[in-house]
Amino acid sequence: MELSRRALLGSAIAFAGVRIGSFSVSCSLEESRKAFHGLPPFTGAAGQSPVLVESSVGLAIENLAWLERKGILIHQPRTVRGPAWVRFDWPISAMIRDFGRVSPISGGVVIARLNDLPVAVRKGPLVVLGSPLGPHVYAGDRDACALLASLTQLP
Amino acid sequence: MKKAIGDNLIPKGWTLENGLALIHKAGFDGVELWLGDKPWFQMSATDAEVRNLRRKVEDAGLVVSNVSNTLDWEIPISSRDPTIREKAKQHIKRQIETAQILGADAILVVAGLVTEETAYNEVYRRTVDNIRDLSEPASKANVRIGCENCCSEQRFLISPREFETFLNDVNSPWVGLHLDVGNIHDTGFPEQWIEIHGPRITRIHVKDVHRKRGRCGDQSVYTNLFLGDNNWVAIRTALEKIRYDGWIIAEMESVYRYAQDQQFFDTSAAMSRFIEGRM
Repeated sequence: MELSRRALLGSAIAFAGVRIGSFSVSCSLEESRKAFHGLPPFTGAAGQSPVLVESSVGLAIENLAWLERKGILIHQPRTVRGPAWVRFDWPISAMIRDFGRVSPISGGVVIARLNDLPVAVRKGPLVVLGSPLGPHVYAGDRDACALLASLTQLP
Repeated sequence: MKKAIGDNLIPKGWTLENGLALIHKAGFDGVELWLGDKPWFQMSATDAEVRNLRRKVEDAGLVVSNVSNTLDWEIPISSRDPTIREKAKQHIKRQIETAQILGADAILVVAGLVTEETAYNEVYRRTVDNIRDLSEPASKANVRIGCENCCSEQRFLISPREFETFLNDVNSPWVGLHLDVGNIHDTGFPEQWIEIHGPRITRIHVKDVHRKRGRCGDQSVYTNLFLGDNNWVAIRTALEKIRYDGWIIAEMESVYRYAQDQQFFDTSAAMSRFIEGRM
């Protein structure tokens, strides 16, 4: 795990999850929770149902460990200067604004990049985002809404 | 994306034919025609004269990107005087008709003008009503009305959310935003306007802007592409995000003291770099 305990604790926010039908989301941002609807906390053990994990600002250690056991590494967050867009090419093509900081992610199939940096991956039912999607959904961004809709409709 | 420039920038004293030849030689694909500006395109022009104008444009190897007007500032659709409002509707209807004749599917209007005497709220109501009325002939002619964001000059619809509310209130697919990325000054960021309005954008005007200079003294706030404070990489990326593939139209001020035709070549080269993302 490249993310130091100090950096992690410095930015960690209480982990919470939401469930949209059989689709589960774990996120830490209040705006993300509003965007993904406030349903009962998700514990990170949703079997084979699609699971979206939104990182970047902070995840609790037990969840990082859980991802690590799945072979997915969330690296040290990086600060983004100026407006920049994360480019998704799965499950749809979409461009979502950065949120000031992004976490590079490795260990799965890369589905989004910021410039050349992989910032979202998928692995089995897991979709892990290193740059928040929720606040942009909450703000009504067309691409963000379309991407989330597409993710929730995955088989 | 295709690039165009306004016929209003053709140097004073030049003929239309020479101006169009210059625009073509400089590498533009089209020309924006301004109703009420140059002698070759006035309200008095008959349909036959407008058809002749189209022939000259096409003979020069160009097409008409859109039809704009210079009349809205003196004859605003938001005027308290109903005779002025009616005149405004007439010239906008003529824009729609001429756009159809010229083979263009979009017009530009400056919708609403707030002044010290004519207050924002009444301007808003009248503008929504009148633009909504004009959406009917626009739909019949298959021409979209693009309301330009003139922000500080117009003192109306200054933020992108405000403009979105306006378009929602007009509530017609035939009415959208003709976005001028140089008109936002220090009130916001064009790339954010682009993301918010997306498919409602009918055309894009380009020029650069000195955000800090403001509208004071005799120094213009506007400048040529890449010389001002716009974030052109962000603007280009936002256009890519919304999948804009329409016209990019240069609306420059004539700033060349010598060799005025050079501005066409320089602007065209800058626009090509913008379109190709080479910045």
